[in-house]
This record gives sequence, C-alpha cells and structure tokens, in this order.
Amino acid sequence: MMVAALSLALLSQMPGQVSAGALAGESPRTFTLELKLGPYTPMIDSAKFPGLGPNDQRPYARVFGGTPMLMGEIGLEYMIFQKFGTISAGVGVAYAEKFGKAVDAETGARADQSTGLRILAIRPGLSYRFDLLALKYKIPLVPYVKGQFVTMPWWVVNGGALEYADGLPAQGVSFGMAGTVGLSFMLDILDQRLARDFDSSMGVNHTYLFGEFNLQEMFTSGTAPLVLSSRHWLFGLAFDF
Amino acid sequence: MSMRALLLVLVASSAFAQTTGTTVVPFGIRETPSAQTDQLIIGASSCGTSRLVYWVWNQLGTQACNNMRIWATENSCGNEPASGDKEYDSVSVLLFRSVGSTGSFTINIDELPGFAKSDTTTPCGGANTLTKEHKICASAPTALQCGLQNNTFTTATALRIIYDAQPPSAPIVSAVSLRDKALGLSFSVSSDTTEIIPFVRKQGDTDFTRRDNISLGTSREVIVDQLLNGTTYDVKLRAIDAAGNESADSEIASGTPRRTIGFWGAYRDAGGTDTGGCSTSALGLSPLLALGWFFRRRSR
Repeated sequence: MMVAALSLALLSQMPGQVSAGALAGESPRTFTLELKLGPYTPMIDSAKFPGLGPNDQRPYARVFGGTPMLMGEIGLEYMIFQKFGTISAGVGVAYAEKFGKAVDAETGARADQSTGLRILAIRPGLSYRFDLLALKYKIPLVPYVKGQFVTMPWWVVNGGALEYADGLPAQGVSFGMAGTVGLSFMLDILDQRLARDFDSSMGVNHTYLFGEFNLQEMFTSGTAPLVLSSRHWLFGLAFDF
Repeated sequence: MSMRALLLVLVASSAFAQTTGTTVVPFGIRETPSAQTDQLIIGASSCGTSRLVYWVWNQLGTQACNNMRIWATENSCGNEPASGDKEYDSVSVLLFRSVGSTGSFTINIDELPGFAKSDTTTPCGGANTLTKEHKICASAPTALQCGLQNNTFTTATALRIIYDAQPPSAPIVSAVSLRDKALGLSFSVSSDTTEIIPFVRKQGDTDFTRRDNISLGTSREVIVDQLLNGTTYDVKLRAIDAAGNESADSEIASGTPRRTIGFWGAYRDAGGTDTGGCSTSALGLSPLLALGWFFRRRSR
C-alpha cells in the first residue's frame, strides 16, 4: 500500500500531466487501474526435447495435463497524453501458478506429492487507447494496444520445497517483450447518472469491462529452453481516475 | 481523482487498520500489561510454581479514593473478598491515580483457594483434580471527586486462571503418504489439541526421535521430512493442549519414502537445457536499459 502511495505521489510530481481529456464537469483523469484474470499456458512443450521421442509426452503435459495456469494481474498506468486518445505509461504485475502430481522416480506412477510451477510477470510499458469516440460521442467501445517489456521470475516446488534436479535449483528469471490488443466496453453507458456519482464521490471517471489478447515472446537460448512465451487472453475491469 | 483525495483515502485506511488492533482495558488483571485475553491456562506442570500477574488502570472519569484490594476466588468476584478467598497485598492509591498505571504481584498456584482447601500438602489439590477455574479479582473505592461524593466500588475485569490437567486424546493416524525423503501423516485429534509432536525411527530401531512441535492450524497432515528414500520408518504422533498436557501416543504407522520427480525434474529428464538463474540472452537486459533511458530523459 505504501509503495503504491509513494509511486502515485512521485508520478503526480512529473511534468506533462494533461487533463484535456476530461469532459466538462468531470474530475481530471490521471490514472488507469486494471484488474484482470485469464488462462495462461506457457509454451514449454514447444521446445525440441532431445530426450523425448515424437510420441512421448512433453514435460508440461505430463505433469500438469497440458491445462492452462490461472493468471491474475493488476496494472496501474499514468496518462501522459490525452488529446487524441490516451497514451499511458505503466506497469502490470501478474502471478500464475499450476500444481500437479509428482511422479515416482522408479515406477513412473503418480505420487502423493504435489509439484508446482509458479510465475511472476512484471510488465512495464506504454499503451494507447482510442477513447476519443467514447468520451466525445458516447460510443462505448475503446480499442487499445500495448507494448511491454516482460521480466518473469519463476520457480518450481516439489512437496512444498524448491525442487533440485541435476544439482540445479528450479528458479530463474526470463526476459522478453509483449504486445497486447484489446477492446474495452465503457460501462458508464449503462447508467450514466451512477457513473457521474461515482466520479463526484470517488473520483472514478470511467469504468470499463475489457478483453485483451496478449502475445508474449520471451528471449531464450539453448536447444531446449524453458519457454515461457504465450498467446493468452485476459479479461477484467478497468477504472480511470 | 486529486492527490489530496487519494492521500485522504490512504490515511483513512491506515487509521482504520490501527483501530482494529489492541483494546485498552479500563481496569483489569492480566497475564501481561498489554495482554488482550482474560484467560491464563495452566497445566499440571504449573503446580508448585508461582506466576507474576499484572493490574492495569486506565479508568477515565473517576478518581481512586483508597487502596486497591486484590484477591483470588473460586466464585464470582463481587466488590470485596469473601470468606475463604485468598487476599494479596493491597496496592496503595498513590500508585494508580493516573491513567496508564500498572503493577505486578505474585500468585502461588498451590495457594489458590480451590487447591489450598482440598489438600495443602499435594500440589494443585492432588492428582484427582483435573480441571478447576479461579478468578483473580480487584476492586477500588472510587468517586467523581473523592471526599465530595460517596465512594462506589469499581471492579476490575478478572483474570481467569484455568487449571487443566486433562490430557487431549491420542491422535489417530488415518493415512501415510510416501514422499520424496519424507512421509506425510494424515491424522485426527480432539478439539483441545493445539500442537502435534511427531516421533520417528528407522524400522528395527528401539528408540524414537522426537521432532519439533508443530502448531495445529487447519491442516490435518504433518510432513516428517529429512528421511532417506528407500528406508522404512516407523512414525507416531502425540497431541498437546493449551495447558501443555501431552496425550498418549498414536498407534505406530510405517512408510518408506520414495524419490519423486517434480516438474523441474521432468523437464530436465526430457533434455531441457535451461539451468535456472537469470536469462543469459543479451536481449534480456533490454527492459532494464529501456527503463534507465526513460528515467534519464525524465530527469533532464
């Protein structure tokens, strides 16, 4: 909470704050807060594993059944341009985890012990929202694009403790980039009076429901790297304030 | 939203968090001056010992006009000690005239009235006494202005000393799961259990090794780790209650830890070449370089 408060206070001191996008009678718009959730399947099994034949099950599918992880993300963006659409700079922090059963080393049967892959994704970047039509002509759809750098710390646990294999601890950090295309639906249109009250009482200018497609490409090296790249959808709520 | 409004929300939220913390006792007897609970649970191991307990005075709006009396009773406190109660040294009115005053006194467990009257030579009234509750009470004559009005008694919130020599039931081990260098024990215990103690030995050995106590949360499984894969172990559990009473041991269960492969092992076994640590790709540093460039431009 304190980190968020300090970040907001620092950002508020930055030059270039523009509130021209605020409509008459509306409080100034400065930030966008996003809360989102969606399935995330890292492309780990897309690597060419030298120890596996063409019909052998890949590691992610073998342990986790190939089903996606559940990813939750919170993002905060600072609006730096509001004349023709909105350009913002911000950061998103996401977390995903997936648990499956470890396998018995001798028999290959599923053991009673759980093993899990945990991933944190930190995504600083820029976004552009074409909200001109929504703000001026009440057309409630706002398409947007984002470009982000991605830093992903990851770690694997087996039976509650960090797993080791071949003497190597199962933890690391991957870097990459991500592009996002999304569409927001401005909920204000459903009850404009309530939306105005939300602004006057809480300072929340607009509320959106959105869906976005993320193309995340992580930089890898080696013949069979741990590929955390993905193509995934996220859905959530956004607040301009 | 303006920064002022945002800061107000932040300040209000932190103030709310603080109000949900501790409660000030106006006048009470407590195990420690800041203790929130009015209970002190003791077991058989406390018999024959003494305890330091505290009085706290935070009474607003009234003046203490005379000394504070403190006593132990098996019954309800009332305003003054009754016949058979154990009275302790009174506290001079000079010591608790101001809000925030506190002081301590010593109680001998065996001298509590319920124990003293049954058998003074046997600690805590003998082995037949399994549970008993005493109250440590206090009162002081008070008035809005001493000397101008009649005094009334202000009574303290009593400290309940609950003697419990009844051990919890022995745990029941319902299943043993075989893990990597560990065994998982699923169990059930009686509701008064607060901690579990695992014991372990290699099968064939005579003596068990006692492991650290484990606080009982919502989980009903304990992991006995630091074992050898392929070796069979005997394990058993013992329950402890809040008074420190230990139960009988559970039935002995056995299991052989087995090496398991988690996701990382499965990935490495398949020929995965990632070794963990930071990505070694030069491109991996690009986000940090870009952020550095961005903030350098902003600072100009």
